[in-house]
Amino acid sequence: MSTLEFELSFRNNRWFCKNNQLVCEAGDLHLLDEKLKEALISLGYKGNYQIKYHFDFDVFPLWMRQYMPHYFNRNFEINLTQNNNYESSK
Amino acid sequence: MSQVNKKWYQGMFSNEDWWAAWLGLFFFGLGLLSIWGLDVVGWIVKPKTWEFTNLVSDFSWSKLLKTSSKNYKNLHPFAALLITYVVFAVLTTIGAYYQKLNVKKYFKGFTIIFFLTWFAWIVGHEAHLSAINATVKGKNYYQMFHLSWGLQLGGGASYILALIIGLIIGNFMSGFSEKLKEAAKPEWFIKTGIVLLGIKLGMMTMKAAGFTYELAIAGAAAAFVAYLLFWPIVYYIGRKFFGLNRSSAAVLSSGISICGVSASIATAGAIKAKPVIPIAVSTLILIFAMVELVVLPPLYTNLAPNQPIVNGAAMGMTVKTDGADAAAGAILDELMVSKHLKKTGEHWEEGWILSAAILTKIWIDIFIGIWSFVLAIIWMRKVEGKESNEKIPKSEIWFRLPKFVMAYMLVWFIYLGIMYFFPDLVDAAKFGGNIVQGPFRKLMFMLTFLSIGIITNFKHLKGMGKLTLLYAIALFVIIAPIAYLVAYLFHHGMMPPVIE
Repeated sequence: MSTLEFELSFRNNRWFCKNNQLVCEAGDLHLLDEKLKEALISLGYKGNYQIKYHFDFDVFPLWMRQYMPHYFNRNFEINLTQNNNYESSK
Repeated sequence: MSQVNKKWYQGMFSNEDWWAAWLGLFFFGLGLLSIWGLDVVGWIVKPKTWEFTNLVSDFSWSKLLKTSSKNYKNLHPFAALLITYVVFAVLTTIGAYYQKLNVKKYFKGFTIIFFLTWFAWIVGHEAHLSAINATVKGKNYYQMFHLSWGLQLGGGASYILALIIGLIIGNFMSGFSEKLKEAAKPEWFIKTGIVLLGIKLGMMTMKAAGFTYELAIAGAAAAFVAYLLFWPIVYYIGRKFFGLNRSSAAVLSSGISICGVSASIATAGAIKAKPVIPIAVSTLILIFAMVELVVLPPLYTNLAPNQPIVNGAAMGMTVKTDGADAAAGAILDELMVSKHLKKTGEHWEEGWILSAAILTKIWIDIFIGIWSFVLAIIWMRKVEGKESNEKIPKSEIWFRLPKFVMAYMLVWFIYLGIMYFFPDLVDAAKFGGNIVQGPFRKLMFMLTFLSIGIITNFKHLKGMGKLTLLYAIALFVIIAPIAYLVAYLFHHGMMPPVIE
């Protein structure tokens, strides 16, 4: 299974994930997953992928970073063949 | 530029936790060269007890300062101070560069913080503030300077003074404090100091192995009990009586009951809360940590003057953030040793009460990675209850494991190794080790005191009414009494060794 890696960040009460191909945003993480799925399908991705979100710690103010240098990384699998609507509309 | 953790080695040169480990191990390594007869640490300057009228009548830097070893006795004390400044400024600025701080601002800020720290350290050693009317190592400074009065605070006077100066800057001189904030890094400074305290633990083990192991195990047990008791109680109160949502209640519970800011970030990350939650909670934690730091050491010293180790361990469980805990432990150590000396003439060895506070806290710090990992699984499967194929990477434990703790343990184990396998080298190792865990470590602590004051601004409490009330109730009604009880159960009867 191929792996797709994204940088995860948080601004103005919204989550963002991005790589050099796309940027997605949503109000919560599960919605962000959905948006990402749509975006990947629209870019022509098919099949199963391992998705890795790496949180950008620069989101935290400078004074806080000295206490803990890590927020979270998130790994999950995504199936891009399930949603036929997107495939046909492409 | 973004800062992400993908590989296990990322952050090794870019975050303060790793830098505390590197800097601490570097100083430790320098001290260890005494095994081969090399004294490359004795140049560091340390303050002397002095008296105002005596100094004014005939000023001399040698009345205020001296080098740490006789090998450098010909070095002028002021020159030694400048060398100390250059070494610490250069090394920490290199660290600041790799941590991507603004190097120019850091260097300027550090310079001011360094000399303000030394001002507080020297003034705090004025005899009317520090001298105790008792004979220690053949000297009674109180009588030597013919004092008619004195606060008799020991080394605690310097700590308190540094804290007051920092708080004045942080709360009343906002423009000035902004200029210093780039260099005011209490966690970095204190974590480096704690690594050096590993040497003290090693030396304590050489002196009283059974006692030290008991202290370490009791600290682990107490920390474990604290996790299981504090967190659920605070979470329940937050949800039931203050109507907090699950995420806020969980983040606040970890912040109050585990290890402060680092726990609140780790927990929020584990449950994937929006970052605004740990940011708000962390502001609260820092301010309350300052309150604890000011209130608890004198309170414990006066309420339980005959329970030094219990008081130290209770401090480790109650005071949040490593910086504030170590600072509170250091003040407690100085106040209790001074009070006991003044009252009984018996001199408890310094550093044992502080070590009790640090050891308990270290265990709490170690478990935070595992706690967050477990919490992440519980949250995903039981609390959110959503179907998900998400996997919690085990690397999360590694990324959240405090690296300075590994360095602290490494230093301790190296001293244990010397004790068990090379007993002939113990005295030589102690020579350099005493300087590094003495003046080097105390300087890092002093820098912490000043820095923690600079970054604490009580104005930030404004608008946090409900959370502030919950924090105050949880801390003073739940955490502090239970922590004391747990500390008493595991540590009562333990006393520091007496210096003959």
